[in-house]
Order: sequence, then C-alpha cells, then structure tokens
Amino acid sequence: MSSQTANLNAIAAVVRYLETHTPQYTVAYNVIPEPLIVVSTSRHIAFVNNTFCDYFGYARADLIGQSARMLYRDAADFTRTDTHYFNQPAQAPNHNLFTVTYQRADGSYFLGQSLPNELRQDGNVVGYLGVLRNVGERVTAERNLELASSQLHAIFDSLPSAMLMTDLERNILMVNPLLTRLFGYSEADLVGQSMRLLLVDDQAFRKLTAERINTQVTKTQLPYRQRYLKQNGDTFVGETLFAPVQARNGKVIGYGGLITDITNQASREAELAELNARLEQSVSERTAEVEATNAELRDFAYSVSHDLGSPLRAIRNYATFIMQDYGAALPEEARSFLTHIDENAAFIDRITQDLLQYTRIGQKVLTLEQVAMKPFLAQLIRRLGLAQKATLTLDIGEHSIMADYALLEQIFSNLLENAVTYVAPNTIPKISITATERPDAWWFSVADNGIGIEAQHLQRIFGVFERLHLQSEYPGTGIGLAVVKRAIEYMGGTIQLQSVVGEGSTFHFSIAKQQNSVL
Amino acid sequence: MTDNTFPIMLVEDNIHDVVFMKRAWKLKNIQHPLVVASHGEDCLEYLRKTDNAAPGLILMDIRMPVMDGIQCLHEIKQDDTLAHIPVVMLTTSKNQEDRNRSFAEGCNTYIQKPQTFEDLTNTIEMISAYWQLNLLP
Repeated sequence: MSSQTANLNAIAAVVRYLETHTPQYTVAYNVIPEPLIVVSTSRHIAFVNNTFCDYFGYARADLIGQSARMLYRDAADFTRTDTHYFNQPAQAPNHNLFTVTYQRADGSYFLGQSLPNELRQDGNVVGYLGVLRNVGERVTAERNLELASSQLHAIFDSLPSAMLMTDLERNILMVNPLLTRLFGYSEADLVGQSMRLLLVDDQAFRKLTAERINTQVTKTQLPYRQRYLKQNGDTFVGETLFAPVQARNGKVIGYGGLITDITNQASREAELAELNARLEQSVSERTAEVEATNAELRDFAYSVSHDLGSPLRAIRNYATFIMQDYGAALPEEARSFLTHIDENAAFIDRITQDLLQYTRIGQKVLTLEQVAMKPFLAQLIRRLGLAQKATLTLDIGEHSIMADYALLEQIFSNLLENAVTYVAPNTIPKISITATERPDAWWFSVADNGIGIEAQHLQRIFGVFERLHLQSEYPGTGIGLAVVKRAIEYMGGTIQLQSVVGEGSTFHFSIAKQQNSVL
Repeated sequence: MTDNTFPIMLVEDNIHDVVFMKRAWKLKNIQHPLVVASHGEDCLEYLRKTDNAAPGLILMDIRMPVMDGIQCLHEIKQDDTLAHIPVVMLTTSKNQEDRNRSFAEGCNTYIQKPQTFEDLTNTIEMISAYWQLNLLP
C-alpha cells in the first residue's frame, strides 16, 4: 500500500467517523465561528470549516487531502505538534497547549494555539478535531514583557552609576552591583531594607521622603546632593536623581534612583569656588587700584596742566612787558631772546591745554545730540579760518548724526588743523571730507595732500606725546591725535590711517550709531 | 569830587597777579588808588582801621592763605560798618560751589580771572566803567 493510499484511507476513516457521529457535520461545523479542522491520524486534512478557510485564505479544495504541514510556517513546529499531540495522548485538556506559527495562503503568519481532540472509534484514534485560536497579540506582549524585564535587569546591572529601586515607602526593592559596591553592602543586605540605612541620619531620610522626589511624573527631576552613609561608617556626597516609577495604569508605585559619588568633585568644586572668590577679590582689588591710579594720574595731569597755566601766562606777560617797556632800548639779540621765551612759554601752555583736553575726555559724560554735519563743518571751517588756508572739498550729503558736539568738534578741528599743518613748504593744502552711512556706524574720512606718515610710524601717532617731526619743522604738541582717538573711541568708534609719504594721509573714522541709540 | 578818588582794594596773594593788576591800572589810567591786601585777614585789618580811607570797591580772590576770600566776604557782610562796600569776586576758580557760596555770602558779582593780560585790562576797564556809572548822580 502506497503511503498516498494509506493517507487517503486514513482520511476516509475519519470522514466515515464524522458522518456516523455527526451526520450534519458539514452544516454544524460551518456554523462554528472558530477555525475548525479535522485531520487523519497521518495528519492529513479531512475537513475544514468555512471560518478556517477564511482564516487561512485557502479554498477548501486546496486543503482537503493535503498534509497539515502546509499550515505551519516552520517544519519544526509541525514536528513538535506531532510529537506533543499526536503520539502522546493528552492527559489533561489544556496540558499540551502550546503556541506555534501558522502560515496563511498569502505567506503571512500568525501565532496560534490549537487544542486537538482525539476522535475515537472502538477505542482506536481515527483522527483529530482541532479548534485554532489566534494568540499572536497576547504572546507578543508576553514575550516583550519578558524581554523588557530581562533587558531592564541587564541595563540595571550594567549602568555606570549606582542605582536602586524602592517602593513608595523607600524600602529597597532592587539594587545594582555598583550600588552594593559603593555602599559596601551585599544585595541581600539591602533588598527589603529601608533607604534610611544608606542615609546619615533621620533628618536626611525625612528630607528625602518629604521633599526630594517630585511625584509628578511629567516633571523633570532635578539632581540634588545628599550625604550618604556607607556600611563601614564612611560618608560621601552623592549626586542623587530620583524619579517616580509608574505602573501601566499611571499610578506611581515606587521610585528609581541614581546615586553618583561626587565627593571628589564636590571638594574640587569647593576648591575652585574658593579660588574663584580669591581671584575675583584680587581682580577687584587690582581694578580698584588701577582705577585709583588712573584717577590719581588724571588728577595729576589736570592739576599739573592747571597749575602750570598761571605761571606760564605770568612768564609770557613779563616777557611782553619787558618788550613793551624796554624793547626799544634792547639790542636785537635780547629782543629775540624775549621772543623765544614767549614762544616756549606759549608752547608749554598749548601742551597743558591739550593735556587738559585729553584728560577731560575720560571724565566727560557724553551729551548726545543731533548734529547736522554740513552746517557743523561749515561753522568749524569758518572758525579755524580754513577757507583761507586750504582748498576744501566736502562730500557729506545732508546727514545728521547723533554725537557729542564738543567731542565731534575736537575730532574734526584736530584732524583739520593737522591737515593744514603737515604740508610740504609752498604747498596749498587740499582737504577733502566725506561721510558715509553704514548700518551700525557713521564713517568719515579726512584726506589731505600733506607730507604723509611712514608706514612704521602709523601705529605710533595716536599715542600721547608722539611727535614725528622737529618742533621747528612742524609745530604741534603730539597730543592732538591722541585726543582724536580717545574722543572717537569714547563715542564707540574706531580710527584708521592710510598714508603715502609725500602724497598725503587719509584718516577714516567711525561714530557708532548703536551707542547713540542706547544713550 | 572827593568821592571819585576812593581807593579800590585788591585782595590777592599772588604777587604776579598784583603786578599785572597794577600795570592794567596804569594802562587804563584808572584814578582810584589801588590798595592791596595779601589775604582775607590783611583785608579786614585794613578795613577796620578807621584812619584808612574806606575802599569804594573790593576785588577779592578766593584761594588765599590765612583767610580765604569767601570767609573774608562773610566777615565784611556781617559787619554793619563794612557791609555796604561792594565786593567783586575775582578768581581762577570755576568751581560752582565757590560761586554759589560767594553769592550766598553777598558778593556783588563773580568774575572769572582773565587768562591774558589784555583781557585783564579790558576787565578792569569794564569794572571801573561800571562803578563810575553807578556813582553818577
């Protein structure tokens, strides 16, 4: 007998059984809303109900007479069920229930269980009747839970921080190896104990239970510092972060905590804080010293230039008186000496005036006002008598800027006076002034056809008392450009100089707009 | 008119300023004699000597040794026999406090000391002309 014939015989046997015991079985079984299958002892399909066909996506004709193997995704599952269900009679109804992976006609699969019932005739098993249950979702959830739980443990144990879980009363439920190591207890010592064991006193424990944990799960938990007690009696500062553990229904059922020993960090921080405080103190001391020194220097410069003024004028007066009263009687040389006395005194007087101007800028409170550049420059040029001394070109538009009038006057008058002073002999000074508006500042340029400044001196000329020429060649106190620079910087600007020796110099400088709007 | 020859008193410790003032006096041909006191006490001493000609005007410096100008002004204005004498503060001080105190003590005017000799002579001329006008009947 071929195996195929045997299979057909087996199927016929079970069908005969069904027809005998349940004459209307095709009707009755089709009414059942569960997938139902009847297989022969050789596990060939004898009958499936409509629900089964629908469930697996097969036509009944595709299934009848076929091996039940086609219903399983994996051969192993088929073999397993064979071993469990069919070669060992079930001892208890659900005893052999287990989950296998079924495969549908379209190749999709699902987790299911079936409970086969033996169909017996005259004491012999003639086949099996099974009802399938799709248990995919439940099994997935269970497996995930198991997986999650094992993952949680793995994570818990491998965390680089000491960690523990407690119930709501702060009884310890779980600790990881780092925590036992940190505190010097064994896991058995800790689990079941109150967290009080790890704290230095009752007060610390009360604090922990009272305030430290925000039970609002949605709130971000903030780490805090807590002194802990080790098994050996040592204490340490631990940075602690506790967060509530929520059950699936949203209820808080306990707390998870991370503890990091930051004793070293804390002491380093304290050291650092002390260092910082000391540094700050010495900086503020030094700043005060520097400020005091600056103020002293300013006062010194002020009083020197102030107190020098009166004797200087006296000297000049006496020289003038001698000249007026006795000049006619004096020899030519004596008269020229008197002139030199006056000139020198006049020069010192100018220096003191310029120095006064320079020291005053630092003490000045900016008084900002709208300055219409065209009339401002016209007036300044008139006052300095520049139109008679030089050829002037103004390209400044109709702009008005916010600036301190007195400082602006100082800047322009010093630059313009320089432009007419530092020219080669027998050259008519040419000066051109431009103004440009930029988003953050006003930019001005004052260009001349003067003697120019050598590149290596460009940086020097803005210093106090920096003179590049002999007094006899070009008069000047060496303070004018320092005043200019200081006044510009005081109004939030910068100054640059381009110069070609023998051709001329151009000063570019800015007056900040932002500074203006702030004040 | 004898009144026109009343002296004008200068209270000034700086000998150069005294020299310049005398020169300005001469240049502007001012007829009133210039009496000089070198500080406040010196000034009061002169004023309280009854045989001294009472000045018709006092030009008072502020910063001086022994007794400063404002103190001297105070003494003059507190003294019923002297309070009528006009006092002009003539000082290098730009200090607003000095100015306020001077007016509070009853000075007639407060003049910044001119920086050049030319300005000094002009100032003297101005002061002199002003007081001359004041004296007209």
